[in-house]
Amino acid sequence: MPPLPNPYRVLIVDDEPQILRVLRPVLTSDGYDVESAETGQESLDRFDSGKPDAVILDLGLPDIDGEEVIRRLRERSDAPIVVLSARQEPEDKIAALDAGANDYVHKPFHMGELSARLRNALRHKDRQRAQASFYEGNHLRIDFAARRASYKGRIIHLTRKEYDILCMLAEHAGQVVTHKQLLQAAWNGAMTDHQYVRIYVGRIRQKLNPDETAAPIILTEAGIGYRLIGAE
Amino acid sequence: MLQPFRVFHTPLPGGVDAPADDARARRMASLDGAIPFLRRHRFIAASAAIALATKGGDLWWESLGHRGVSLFFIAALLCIGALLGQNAALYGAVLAFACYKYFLVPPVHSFAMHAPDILAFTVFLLVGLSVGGLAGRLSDRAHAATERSWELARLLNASKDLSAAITPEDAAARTLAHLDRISPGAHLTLHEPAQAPESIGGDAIALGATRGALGVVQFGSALSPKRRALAEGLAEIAAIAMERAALLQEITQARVISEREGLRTAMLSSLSHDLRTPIATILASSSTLADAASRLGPAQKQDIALAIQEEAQRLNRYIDNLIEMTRLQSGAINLRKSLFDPRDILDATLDRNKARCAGRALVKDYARGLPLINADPVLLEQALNNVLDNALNYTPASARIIIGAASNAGGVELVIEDDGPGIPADEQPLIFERFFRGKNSGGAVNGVGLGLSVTRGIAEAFDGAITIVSPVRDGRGTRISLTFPAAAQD
Repeated sequence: MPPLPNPYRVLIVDDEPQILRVLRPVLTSDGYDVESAETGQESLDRFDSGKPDAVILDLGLPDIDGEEVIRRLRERSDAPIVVLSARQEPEDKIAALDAGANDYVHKPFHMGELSARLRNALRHKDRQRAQASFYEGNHLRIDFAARRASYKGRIIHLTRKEYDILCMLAEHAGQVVTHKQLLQAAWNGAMTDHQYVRIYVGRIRQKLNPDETAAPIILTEAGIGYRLIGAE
Repeated sequence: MLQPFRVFHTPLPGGVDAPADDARARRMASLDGAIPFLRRHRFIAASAAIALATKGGDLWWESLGHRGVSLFFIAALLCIGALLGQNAALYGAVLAFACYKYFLVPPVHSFAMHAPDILAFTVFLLVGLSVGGLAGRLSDRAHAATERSWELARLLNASKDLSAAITPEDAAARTLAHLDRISPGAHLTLHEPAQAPESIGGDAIALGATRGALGVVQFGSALSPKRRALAEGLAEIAAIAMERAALLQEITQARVISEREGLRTAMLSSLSHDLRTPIATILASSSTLADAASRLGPAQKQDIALAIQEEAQRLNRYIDNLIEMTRLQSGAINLRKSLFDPRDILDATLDRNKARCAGRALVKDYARGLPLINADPVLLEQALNNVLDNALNYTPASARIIIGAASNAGGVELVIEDDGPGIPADEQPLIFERFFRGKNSGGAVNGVGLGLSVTRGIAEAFDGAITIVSPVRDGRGTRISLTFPAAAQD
């Protein structure tokens, strides 16, 4: 993996020194400028002084509850936050995502998985800043201006809500999007039942992959939401 | 043990009814019937019969004549004897003699007799007494035997019913239902064996068996000796049944405790071995990299790194399963249900095992238009992961694995099938037991013995079923399917 042109600054927050010991050299070799913190308070201090571009945050910190740290970070900036957590329950992950985290990786994790999630989170930020007019990745191309989507060269006809959902997933390509976020994107909060999202995602999948044998492009994150497989 | 001073009152909800298919039992349900009714009022009945006979004799005097009429009375006495018993028959004979003379034989309305008639009348009386008496005695004996057999059948019925009781309280409730039929308004009090009651009154019976007095039955009203005998017989059976039920409870508890102990032992030994094995590999591999990296080629280093990775993942899976198994066992499983597409779960399982499945012949066979499942997708993913794990562990790298989803009569069927060596028939029922490891692992045993038992536990928690078919084709292959009820579409 060649280093990124402009080194992003990444703040790793974890109270376990073993994790830092592994992450620091790996991320540095990936081209990032790495800083670390071991408590919630330290992370906020370092964030203020260092102004990192992204944060990798472990939820199980000794002093401040992980969700609270996310909220305080969000007050300061919209820098992408990737959450690391040993907690398995979907509720904990949803709570972290709702509080403002962009993605999560559960411990134990593959280094490659963490790398990819961090990369996707930063790309998402870049895309947002650049206000890209189109999305392209993994055979999927969406022209935001023309409101047109095509997959493997074939134009896909989507209803308005299906398009909104697909756009939301594409904007967060590679990142998890919660049911709530998708409901917000397509129904603007008018609907709250997750089943609607499931039905519409099912329809989108059907349209993208009529024969159902090819690998799915939209992954289900059980109990949490969906993730579009973007360009790797 | 039995609770002190628990009082059961009649009537009890859901009481025990006499078995519907036993007509005799229905009759036994009450000690009443047509014949016993007549017998209770036997003297009145006998008098009525004789009165009828007298009237009949009077009406048919011309056509029957002397002898005919006397035989008429004898016939009546036979009937009285047969139906009402000896005492009624003897009384009837004397009454018949009197009525015959007084109303029918001249001089009428007088007990005077003509000389020639005296012998005839004497014979008539003697014959009447004998016939009625004998018939009556036979009838009495037969009746007593029938009553006895009814009582015995009744007790047998009660005994059968009580033997089905599994707790002392259940036995007491059933006893009360039976007692109620003997004498409505009965009360049953249970107490500790040590606390024997002071004295038993005339309308109460003590319940006692081998372990000592169990309780007291109090009746609403005084019992006739016959009913009391029946009640005492019932009380004996009841006491035995209650003791049996109490013992059964004790045995069951003891068995549960011993099973738990056995499981704990198995778990500890499994933990010790199965946690240490991957850790041993990780330690050996990592220490090699730390100490001898310079002596290794890049391919070797890569291989060692992969070994560490695989073992760590195996450890993780094992811990997942351990936690899930503990939850399932303690019933602490949080049944979080939601509707989802079963194919989603299969895809997620495949994705989770992407690395291990790479390079293996994997085929997806999903039916179209499948109904949804109502279950916890996270748990179901774990359940399927264990099955796939098994298929990957116990088949050679060249084996083909089919992942399928189809709809059938039971609902939605999720299938993972391989064409590996298969599982021998004698092991098939055991593979879902905790800590069981198959012998046909063809070399190193990679599995841990927990996965499939967790899978089954999860399947059952959501009303699903798990089945195994092996061999599948040409003497090879294993096919494990999980079937879940289709969720009602809304």
